Amino acid sequence: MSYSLRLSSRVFRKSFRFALQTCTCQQQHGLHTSRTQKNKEPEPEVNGFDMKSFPVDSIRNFSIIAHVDHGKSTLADRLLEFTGAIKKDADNKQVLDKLQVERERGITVKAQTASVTYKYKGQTYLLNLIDTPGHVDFSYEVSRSLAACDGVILLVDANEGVQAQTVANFYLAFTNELPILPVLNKIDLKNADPEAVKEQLLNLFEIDPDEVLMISAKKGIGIEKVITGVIESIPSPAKKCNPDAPLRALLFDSWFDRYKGAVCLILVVDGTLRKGDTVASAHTGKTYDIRDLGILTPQERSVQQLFAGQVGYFTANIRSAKEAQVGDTFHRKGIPCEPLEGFRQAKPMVFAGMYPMDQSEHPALRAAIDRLTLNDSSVSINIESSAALGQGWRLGFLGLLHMDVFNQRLEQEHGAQVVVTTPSVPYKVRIHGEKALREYGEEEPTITNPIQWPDPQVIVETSEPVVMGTVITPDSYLGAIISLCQDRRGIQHNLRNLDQNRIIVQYKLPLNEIVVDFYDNLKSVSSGYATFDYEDIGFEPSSLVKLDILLNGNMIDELSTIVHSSRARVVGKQICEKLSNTLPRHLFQIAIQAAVRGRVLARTNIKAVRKDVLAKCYGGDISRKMKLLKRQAEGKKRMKMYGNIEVPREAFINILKR
Amino acid sequence: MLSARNWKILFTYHWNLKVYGKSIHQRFCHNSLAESYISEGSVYVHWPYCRQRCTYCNFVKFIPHQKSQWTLQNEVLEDAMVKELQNALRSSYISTVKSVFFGGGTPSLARPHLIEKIMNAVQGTCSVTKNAEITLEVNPTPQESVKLKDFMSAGINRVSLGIQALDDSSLKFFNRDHSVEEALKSIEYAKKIFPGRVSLDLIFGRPRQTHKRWMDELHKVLNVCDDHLSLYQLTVERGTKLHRQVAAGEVALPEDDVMAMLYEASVSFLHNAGFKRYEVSNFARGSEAECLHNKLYWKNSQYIGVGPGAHSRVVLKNDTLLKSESLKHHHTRDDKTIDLGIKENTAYKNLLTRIFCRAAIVNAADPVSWLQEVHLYGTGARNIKFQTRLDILHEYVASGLRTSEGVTAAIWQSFCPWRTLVDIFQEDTLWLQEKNLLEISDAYMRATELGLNVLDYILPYLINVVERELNR
Repeated sequence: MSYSLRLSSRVFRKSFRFALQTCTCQQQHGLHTSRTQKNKEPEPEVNGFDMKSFPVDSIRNFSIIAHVDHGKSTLADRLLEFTGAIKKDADNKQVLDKLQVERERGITVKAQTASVTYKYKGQTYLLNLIDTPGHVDFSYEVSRSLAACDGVILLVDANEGVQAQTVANFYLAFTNELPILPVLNKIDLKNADPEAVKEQLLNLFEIDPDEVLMISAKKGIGIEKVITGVIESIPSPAKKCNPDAPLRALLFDSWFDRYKGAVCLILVVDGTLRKGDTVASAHTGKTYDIRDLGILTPQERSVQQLFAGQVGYFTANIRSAKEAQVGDTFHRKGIPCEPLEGFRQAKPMVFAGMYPMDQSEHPALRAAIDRLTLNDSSVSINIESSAALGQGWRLGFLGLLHMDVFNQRLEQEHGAQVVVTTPSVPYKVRIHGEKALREYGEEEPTITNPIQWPDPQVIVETSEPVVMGTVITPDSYLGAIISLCQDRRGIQHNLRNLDQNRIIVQYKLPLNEIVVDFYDNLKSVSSGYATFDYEDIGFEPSSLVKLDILLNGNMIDELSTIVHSSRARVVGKQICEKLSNTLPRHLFQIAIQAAVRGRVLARTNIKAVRKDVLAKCYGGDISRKMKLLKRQAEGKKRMKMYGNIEVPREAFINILKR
Repeated sequence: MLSARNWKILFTYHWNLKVYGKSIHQRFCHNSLAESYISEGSVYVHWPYCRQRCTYCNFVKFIPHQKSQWTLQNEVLEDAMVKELQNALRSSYISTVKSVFFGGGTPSLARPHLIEKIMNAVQGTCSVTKNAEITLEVNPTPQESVKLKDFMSAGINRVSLGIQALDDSSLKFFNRDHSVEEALKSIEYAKKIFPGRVSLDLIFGRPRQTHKRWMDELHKVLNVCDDHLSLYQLTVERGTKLHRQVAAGEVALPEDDVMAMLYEASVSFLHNAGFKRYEVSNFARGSEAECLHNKLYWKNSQYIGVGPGAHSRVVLKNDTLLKSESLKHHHTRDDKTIDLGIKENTAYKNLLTRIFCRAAIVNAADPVSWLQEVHLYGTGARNIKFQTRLDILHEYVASGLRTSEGVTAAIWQSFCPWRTLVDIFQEDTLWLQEKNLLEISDAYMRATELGLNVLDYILPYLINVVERELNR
């Protein structure tokens, strides 16, 4: 899927930069910390960062939201440069260079924060730039990051205009009731059309064209306006913070460090957090001693305490990423508080099986998956064993991009070939009957694997996850895009002109219709111009059925899939045809059938072998024949029997892989 | 004295010793195959030249041009072949030669003198059985027909004519160097000189070949043929012009089912005409007419291949290799006993899977390299692999089942005295027997008429059965 290549690499290369700024410094800092701890000297406050000197009203917590490649990290770099947090040019390049290294080490893609100070109208402000992951796959994480902000910079490329992702991110900020500072970037470029983009912003978001800042992050034009804009139009966190209340801190991001454990990024909402404090998680109840506390400038800098409204990090020897969950609230041990709202556990929405191409690579693949998931608590793992593909795992991801990034890294870092099965989504099935209820333990179990699908007789209702998809496209491709969405059971929600030749269209789409090749198809029908994004809008009742595949009447469990009843025939036909092309002929005819509840919807036949014998086999031919024969004999050993039908692993891979 | 050929084999042996360690030594010390097996064999002589290139052929062959580097003088080539043959026979235990086959290439382009030289060399080292079969492959052209008498005088007693098709457009498509008319004349002439000893080669499954056209052709063949026919299904081999044509979509072979139908129709047509399918592609009227040389291949006999690209399967004289070793006295020529003195249950398994007893040799393919090797080492061998009994049994199953005789208990027994055919195959092949594809008795295991058509489908199972059972 080109999706992964285009989006993931870009988004994450960008996000990495911030990750790196912290990670590389962590190490330096780690050394520093251990030395000071050994000497038992009190750690000096960092120059210019006496945290007490930043009362709540001098603080601005904000983030930048933008579509991929609209210049978010360049703007961030400029803001840091302008405020003196990092040096110009040389340092930035270094940051980028190290990025490659860090990337290979497998640092998780995470949003990062940088704190800078800026003197404006006689007052020194503490500006906390909170980066968000660029994609709404991580919408929950984005929303947590936004929960730590009091406003956002909406950054739009003056050449490309508003894109699907911009819209999704805008609405996230909008629903969080955050003030928005609109900024047009890249105004120096020849094709920039700021007026048209302003018109889009007006149409879409009702943003007053006069309020839009015009900058070029690359050229450093208008950076000061952005900073003063942040100070003036984004409120301080004073409204939601209470410096005198007991400690309450929102964990809005975390990553895992091999030496220090989880590093938690927090917003101190109420009270004060001090080094040495014992804090407790409102979610798990576990308590931790704060080992190190600090801010990111963007280097980690230890401080003794963080006050209400301030943003920083702490480490507390938290040994698992699972214990540092985004959205959790920390309070002082023994002084419980009302947890901050919005916490929920990451819910995987896209599932895929992963199997080593060769079973001998199982341990190596397991190690690789362990390593990757250590850093990313949002990936769910279940051991799965398929008679066809052997031992493997069923992994759950937040979304498509998340999965693609994971796969890409697995492939890059693991090296060996991995069979990734076609992604599927979770379904909810309401069941009745005492026996079924006992078996499933609940009235509406979530089914992530077709094998778990309940007997049709006990099913009351089925529902599937639905998303709101946003497509922005030049109007000439609209027809093709509408028919694509309709083919995928989409229901049009909204269609508007964005400007004179671009259209924004929103479709309610079942998630399972977009998990496989929707994005690729969208790109191909729009010559690559349309952009797409989506957000989960929950489960909706839907007529779902389990499609079974039978070979001469023997059901092949591994090939069962859950489909919408209207699609069963088409999907069934596809699978039958694919199978008839990959299954070897046998000595007897094979009937391949696709059936729902025993009713056959599609069928293909594989004719019996009638002649299969080498024409010539004399002296010289025998050696060749034996070579081939040995290979075939080895292949036979690896085949899976269904009744008396042999199914080679390749046939399964061909059907199951993406 | 070590022959030159043995020098080379000795080298391979020492190389193996280096790689596998001391254990290889043990593995070479006994062949312990029956005397009756190691004393008999056949000879194949590969003539590497053709007049022109047939579009389907991937055999080792060269089109001689003046000054082309691969073109050797007849005299030189003949002498080297003789030299290689003599060395090979000496380093084997073969004392009786049952057949000699001149193949190619186009061996009918060779001088009849070659036959004489080769036969003299064979007779100089071994005895040739009274009814030995000496076959020559012949292209049915007028130029070659006139040589047939001389070939007969030189020792040939059977010819195989490559007529391929009785259809001029097919011959043209194949780029054959003869017409139908010339072929028919050659057949007539050959039958006069070798009455009852003429075989015809034909190719079916040609592009756009229909059942009717092929049956008409077979009718014509039946009118002119002698008592032996070989019918080969056209196969697309890599590196041939046909392969390129098919890959480019210029030529399409009949569908699988049409191929099967053409084959089945041929078998039943020839059956009605009194021809028995004694092997997948070979048909004979009366068992006298069956090709002895090829039957020896399928029976897993020893054969010595001479000439560029030729293959051999031969038990080599180990004692010439390891003369000084004290193990010499272990060597036995007794038909029955296996003189290893190992009492453990696993002894025979070692014999089956660890002890090398036969060499599979492939000669250098291009005439010049081959010639150089022969000059230097006395053999053109490029690749020598040693085979265990298990390897040999695998080959026997794969080739023996191609024949109507099947795999016989007697021959099986000679390689595997510990487990009978029935013991090994009966249970695991019940499903094949039930499907009427395979028959097993105390005396043989055979593919049925039906089973023969799909033999290659069945073979991988049987190979796995052999391996599993013998490793048990």
